[in-house]
Amino acid sequence: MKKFISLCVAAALILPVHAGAQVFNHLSLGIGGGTDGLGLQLAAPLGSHVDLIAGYGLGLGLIQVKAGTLSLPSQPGSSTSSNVSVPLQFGFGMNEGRLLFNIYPGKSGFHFTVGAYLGSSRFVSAKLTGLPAVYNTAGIDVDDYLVKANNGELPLSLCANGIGAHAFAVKPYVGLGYGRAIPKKAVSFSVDLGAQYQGKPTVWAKGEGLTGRIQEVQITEKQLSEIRQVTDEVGKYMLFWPTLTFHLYVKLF
Amino acid sequence: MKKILFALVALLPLLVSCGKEDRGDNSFKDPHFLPYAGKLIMNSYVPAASSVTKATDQVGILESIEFTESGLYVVGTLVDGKLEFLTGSYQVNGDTYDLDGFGTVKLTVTRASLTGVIIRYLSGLIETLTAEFMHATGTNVAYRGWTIDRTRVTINGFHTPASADFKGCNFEEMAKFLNDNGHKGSLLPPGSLKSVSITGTNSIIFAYSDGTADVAEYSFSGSNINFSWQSGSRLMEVENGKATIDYLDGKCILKIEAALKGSTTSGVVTFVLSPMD
Repeated sequence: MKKFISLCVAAALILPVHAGAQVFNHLSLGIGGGTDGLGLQLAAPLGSHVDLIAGYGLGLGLIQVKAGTLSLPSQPGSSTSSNVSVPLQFGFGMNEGRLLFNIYPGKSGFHFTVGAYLGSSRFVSAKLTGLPAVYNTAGIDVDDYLVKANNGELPLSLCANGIGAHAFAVKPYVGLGYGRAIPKKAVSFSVDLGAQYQGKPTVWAKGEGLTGRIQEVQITEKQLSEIRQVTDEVGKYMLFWPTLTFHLYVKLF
Repeated sequence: MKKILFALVALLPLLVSCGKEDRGDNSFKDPHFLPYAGKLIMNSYVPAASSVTKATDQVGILESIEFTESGLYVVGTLVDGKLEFLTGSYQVNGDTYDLDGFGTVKLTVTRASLTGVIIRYLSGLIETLTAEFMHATGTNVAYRGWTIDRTRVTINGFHTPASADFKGCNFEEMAKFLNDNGHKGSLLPPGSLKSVSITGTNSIIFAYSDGTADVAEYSFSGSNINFSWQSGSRLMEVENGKATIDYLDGKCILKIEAALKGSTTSGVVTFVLSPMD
């Protein structure tokens, strides 16, 4: 995968040079949305067959979906407590840059896209709701950070690093689409379908340190065995993030 | 050239290396009573008259008086074969220590490593005796009194340890947390823990809101502390007498592996401490 992406990027950079084409002689602004959040993008040509797209996407978590439950002890510190089912909500939670190359094999708008999504590893915001009141006091200690609920709710993040790290994820993307990022006239419309490689997801939550520092910490099975219910279930389907996007491009010059 | 520059700019975040963890400013001023700190261990004490402790009015035999680096005194008294400790603040006037709620302790002639001590109790009773005076060294920033900002209690459970933070160290709040999680919170004593002192004479002093204290002897091994209670601690039994000490954001982090007395409840108690002075 890495080699394939590297080859595509190299080809995208080298092709226009050999074609002797105009580079960065146009610029367009694109707005759109999709399964990678709401996006704002700038596009410039790297010759007649390749466009470079750089942008930023944000998942506001406006659409929340209840998907499954988590079985947790009603008294977390007790050896004899019974379990309660706690609903789990999901929403888009990405907050990342993107660097993409549209490669047009012909004169039509059909294109292949290669590149990567860069930045925050979070792709889904999740929330446990309806936790028993004891969870507002009792939480779990993750490396001296206390993770606990507030008013029965515990926000979580599903994160994946791709080929990067948690602090800076790099998620390679391949896909295909139709429509030009640099409109031939004033405006163009583009639709794209592809997938980001993101690897096995992990679960993170904000915790309060002993001296009041707030930091996001990874919750593993070591701290909460029930978290496996989330990572296993999501991990089965989310190694690749399906990316369907729609963009409207306006030519700036 | 534009492409190379563009690629470098795009990769810039990847090239930024992670810095060393910021642990904040952890330098502390010397505690105010460092020059006067030390521990009197009573030597040739023959009680001509019994001393009377302030909290319980129990008759006891004076064993030791410790003056901490932050102005706290701890009087150790043997009552019915058990050591009991009383605490309070002290002031120094020349060679006389004025112990709030106890009386005065005047240090006199030092002879053959023994110090003469004249104790005037609040009741007016005066005793003259000798003691070994161990002076505090002040060689470690831990040697001072610490107030309790926060206590984090982690109790071992069936699924996973459960943790909770408490402002200060109020036992009633902790008892509720233990009860809510199926443990015997009623085993905790009433009141609260007011301060923790770590002295240069190898004592850890837990001073409670009722003026009493538990005292442990300790030794450092790097950031580990090995300790054993001198009195029967009312609060906790300690698994292997293990604790660790660390510093973060100008606070002392004292972490003790402990088990609640009289129960199967065990876990970790972490104190976040601020210097008293």
